Amino acid sequence: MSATAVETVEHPREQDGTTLVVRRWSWWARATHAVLAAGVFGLVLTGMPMHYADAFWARPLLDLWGGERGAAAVHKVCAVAFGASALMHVAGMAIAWLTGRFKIRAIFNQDSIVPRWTDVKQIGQQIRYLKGQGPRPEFARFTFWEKFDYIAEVWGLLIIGLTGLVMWFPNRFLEFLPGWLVNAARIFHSYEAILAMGFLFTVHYFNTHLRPEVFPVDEVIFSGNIPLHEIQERYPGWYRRVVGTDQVFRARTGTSTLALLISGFYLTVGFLILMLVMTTAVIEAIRYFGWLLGGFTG
Amino acid sequence: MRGVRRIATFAAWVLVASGALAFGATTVSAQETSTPSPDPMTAGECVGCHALPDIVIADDGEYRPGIHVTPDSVMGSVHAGFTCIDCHSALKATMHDRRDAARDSCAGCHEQQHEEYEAGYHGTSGEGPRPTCITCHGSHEVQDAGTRDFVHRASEQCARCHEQMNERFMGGNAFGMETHLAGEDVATCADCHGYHTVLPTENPGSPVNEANILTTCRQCHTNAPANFVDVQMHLSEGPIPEDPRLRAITIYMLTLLIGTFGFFGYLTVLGIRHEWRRQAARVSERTGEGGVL
Repeated sequence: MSATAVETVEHPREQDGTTLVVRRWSWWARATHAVLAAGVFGLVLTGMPMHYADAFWARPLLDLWGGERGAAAVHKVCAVAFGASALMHVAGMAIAWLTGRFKIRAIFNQDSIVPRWTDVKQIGQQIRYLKGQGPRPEFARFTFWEKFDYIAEVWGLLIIGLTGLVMWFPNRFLEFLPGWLVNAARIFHSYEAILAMGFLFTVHYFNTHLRPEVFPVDEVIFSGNIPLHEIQERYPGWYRRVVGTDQVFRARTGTSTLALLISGFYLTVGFLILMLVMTTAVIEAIRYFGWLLGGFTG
Repeated sequence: MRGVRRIATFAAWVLVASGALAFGATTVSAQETSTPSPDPMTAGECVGCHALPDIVIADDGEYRPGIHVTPDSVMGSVHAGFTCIDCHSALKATMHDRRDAARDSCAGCHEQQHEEYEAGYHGTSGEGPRPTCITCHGSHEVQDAGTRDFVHRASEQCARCHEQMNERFMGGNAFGMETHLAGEDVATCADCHGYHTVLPTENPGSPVNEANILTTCRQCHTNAPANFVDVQMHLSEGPIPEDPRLRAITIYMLTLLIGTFGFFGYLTVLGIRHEWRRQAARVSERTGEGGVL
């Protein structure tokens, strides 16, 4: 519990149970994340058994939604939620900009989530640090893998959203698109889905909720507040810029039972479906390995 | 004591009554099966040998599933109630010839279907083995072709010969996936290619011929635009499509997938090892011993 060590020395927890914190996520951002998470889960739990239809777990999983017709309907509802989360994000930024709480130039400062050249340099630094060959990189408010989370989300949503629409309304799109693009849409859609699911349920989980300091859930996504001692340890660059400013305030910290239940559910179900998909994908890869060696000849 | 005697009396009565019932039932059923066919080759006489699990062909001493017939297989089919010689009609004349297959017997009742079959490639093709009625429908166990069960098995029946097309259908498109799931109204081979009268794609009569394919798609996809027919149905036997454009997309996505997971997998493994060492160092610092973890 290194967090506790730092906490007691420099930023002690007060008698009333409050700690110095900084607001990392606004309530709107947390609401957006909740809609996004629910949507993605519904999409994964209905889409994966449709893609791996011959896997042993496909039939029981689809029956959960009332068969493939029900699953397709749930998939579309969750797709709308997924798209809505993107709109929430854009609308939130637009309103914040109109009311003056968000400046366009903030996109380009050090604590923005938009990637900078520094991030590329920090990849090498982080690898050296993890190997014990160098100091920890001076991460700003967002590390490069957190930025990748965000960028992957944006490009994933564009690819998966557009290709999903093509498959949802083929008649509309085929009036001006050539037929092979529908096949292309399905290929993009399924690989992008596997990429997104694999990234979320491994990299995102391991680097946020499953870190030993916060296991089993990083409560920042529920409270919106990140303790100052955690900023000091994880985001030294950001720490130097916020410490002593009016962004630091006192708040109660600690994981609520509800947060534990919600995150426990997401983590468990996410891991389970990931394991099932991985098993099937590995079996499929082994099955086709000989065929690949044969030079794609059909 | 009186209670025991009463129970014993009741039990004896039940025993006698059920015995009488059983006797009556066997008598009735024996009458039913023996009366309609005075012919020596009744079902009973055929299955006397053909129901034996170790039955072999006299010429070569080999077992073949086709000659092993149990009463159950026929009784569970739509032809329950038929006797053997209803279909094996030539048997009376040839007395057990090896070519007593009942193929042409189907036409005796299913005349129209037989004509349709004769008009198609399966009925006329001279090369190689030709499928007959029983290739798709089965013989003794023949089921109602209108049931969902039969329709879902249909693509597997086709794939007994068209093996490659099965992989290219099942692996490459939405219909194939739904067929795996036995979807309620999923299209299988016969819905596009026809059945009984199956014609090669080049034949202008084929429903998948260039001239007819849009109409065929529109059976389900009403208002499908002209480009609809260019959506590929049989992509590839494997995960990488044959169409060069689709192949390029697949290889691009696979590279992205492997690259992303490779890079972040490497970082995650490094991170876990780092964390492990940090925890171990902390423990040894506290306890004064090295290598506790």
